[in-house]
Amino acid sequence: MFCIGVAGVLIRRNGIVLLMCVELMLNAVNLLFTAYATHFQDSAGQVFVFFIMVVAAAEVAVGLAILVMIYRNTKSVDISLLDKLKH
Amino acid sequence: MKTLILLFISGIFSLFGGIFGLKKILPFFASIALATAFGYLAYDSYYGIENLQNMLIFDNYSTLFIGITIVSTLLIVLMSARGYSYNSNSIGDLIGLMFFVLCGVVCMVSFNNMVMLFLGIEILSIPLYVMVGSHRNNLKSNEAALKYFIMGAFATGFLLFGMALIYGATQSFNLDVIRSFSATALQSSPALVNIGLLLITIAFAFKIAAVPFHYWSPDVYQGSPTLVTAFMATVVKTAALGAFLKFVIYLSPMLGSQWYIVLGLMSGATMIFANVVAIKQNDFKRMMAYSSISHVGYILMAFLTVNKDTQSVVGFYLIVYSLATIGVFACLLLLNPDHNKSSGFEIFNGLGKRSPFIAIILTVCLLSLAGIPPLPGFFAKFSIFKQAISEYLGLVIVAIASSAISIYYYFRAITAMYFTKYDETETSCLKEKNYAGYFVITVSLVGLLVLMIFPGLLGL
Repeated sequence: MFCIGVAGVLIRRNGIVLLMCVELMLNAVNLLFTAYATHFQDSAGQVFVFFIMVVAAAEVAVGLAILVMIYRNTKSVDISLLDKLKH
Repeated sequence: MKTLILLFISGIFSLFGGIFGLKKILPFFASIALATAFGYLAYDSYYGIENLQNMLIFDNYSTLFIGITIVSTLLIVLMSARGYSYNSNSIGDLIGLMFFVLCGVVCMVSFNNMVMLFLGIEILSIPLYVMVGSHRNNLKSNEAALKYFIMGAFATGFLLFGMALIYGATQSFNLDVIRSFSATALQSSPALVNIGLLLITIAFAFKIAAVPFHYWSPDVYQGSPTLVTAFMATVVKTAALGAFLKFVIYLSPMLGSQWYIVLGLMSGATMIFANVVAIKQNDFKRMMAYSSISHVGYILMAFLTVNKDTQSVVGFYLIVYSLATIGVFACLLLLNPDHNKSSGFEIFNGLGKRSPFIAIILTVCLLSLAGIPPLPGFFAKFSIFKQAISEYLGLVIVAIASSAISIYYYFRAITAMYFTKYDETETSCLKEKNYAGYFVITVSLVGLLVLMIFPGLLGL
């Protein structure tokens, strides 16, 4: 799942799909944390998962706001249009 | 702790102040709040170490880094008094977000638990994405915000995955427990620990913009408003390096020799690549981005030989670097307050005649960044080289060669100031007086000169 997320971020060119791939990475981590927490009978891992979920939600909110801002200026969410800064 | 609470309340107050039309006094309010926070920080550290449930520990180390970031923010807020008029409706939001970033910094550099490290990095990053995109109608700013966001979120994924693997090996998030567990964990599951450490290192490399994870940084520095660029180049860089150094100091028993090889290669590549590429840049802000990447390379060299002096060496370097960088960006903001010109080198043409005062300060700051001997930038570099030279002679030679290269591109701006004629037809924005801006550049000049004469003044 983590690898799918990484590959998605590197390959896809649609802003919304990029956000989804980042979420995929975070969810893979969540799964790993819960698995370890169950294995160790330790609640700290599960508590961390809640923190990750909260932060991920905040992050996606900001990310979508940035995408909306870009859509207003370019009428597209295709990030390959964004090459105005010199490389 | 009091510092953290004060910063948080000031942040909320600034946000509401921006809504209720207190924009005129906000920079002054923010300056007073930051000065008070700094006072509390000094007061608390005087009364010893404060430990919050083993989650956050406020000791000398965190006081040093929080102090550097608070003073840098204070200078940047003073710059904003006039400098952000381009979009002055959002000055309240901008200052509020700066306070929230500082809250993140406090968590990041005083963490004793992986959870606080993660939360600190996120509290720092999320307001920054918004700040970078704060010129809403400027497509460059939008692009910078999206790039920074994607890279930041990507790095967060790596950081969390690394933490998950280390949790799997050691069953704890607490750094003390992880450290005491490290020998057993390394024996029972070396792959988990090593891959986890590597992933966390990659995430930090993204945050501090070390080669090969630096490619977002020039775009973001160029695209964001100058004030935000200054903030990122100083406060954010200091915080990320502080957190990384704390991580390395705590977990040094877990780090194998291959980890040091990776870090050494990263440091060498960062210095060479950044300095060589910076020569070709025609945009001043992009050049400053590469310059700050190269400084990260020098600082990473100190991470290789961690001992009891590392903290003060890195702290001194970051103080000198932050002062000089703030001076440079404050001068840039004085010359181009409304972001209506390009930020190429031609902006400095004939500055030596137009405004000798700004020209001298800019020259001193750039020379200090380049590490020319009498200035404190030289002493800072020298103390890092001195530490590393016994074990990593090759790396020190690379560092000296690349800092010789860096003198060339710093001198491009200086020659433009003194030896290029100014086009008289352009309107000058230097006519109107911006006292806060002049105050900031004077402070950075005085700070650099004081550190030049008394390098031991700060007791580092």
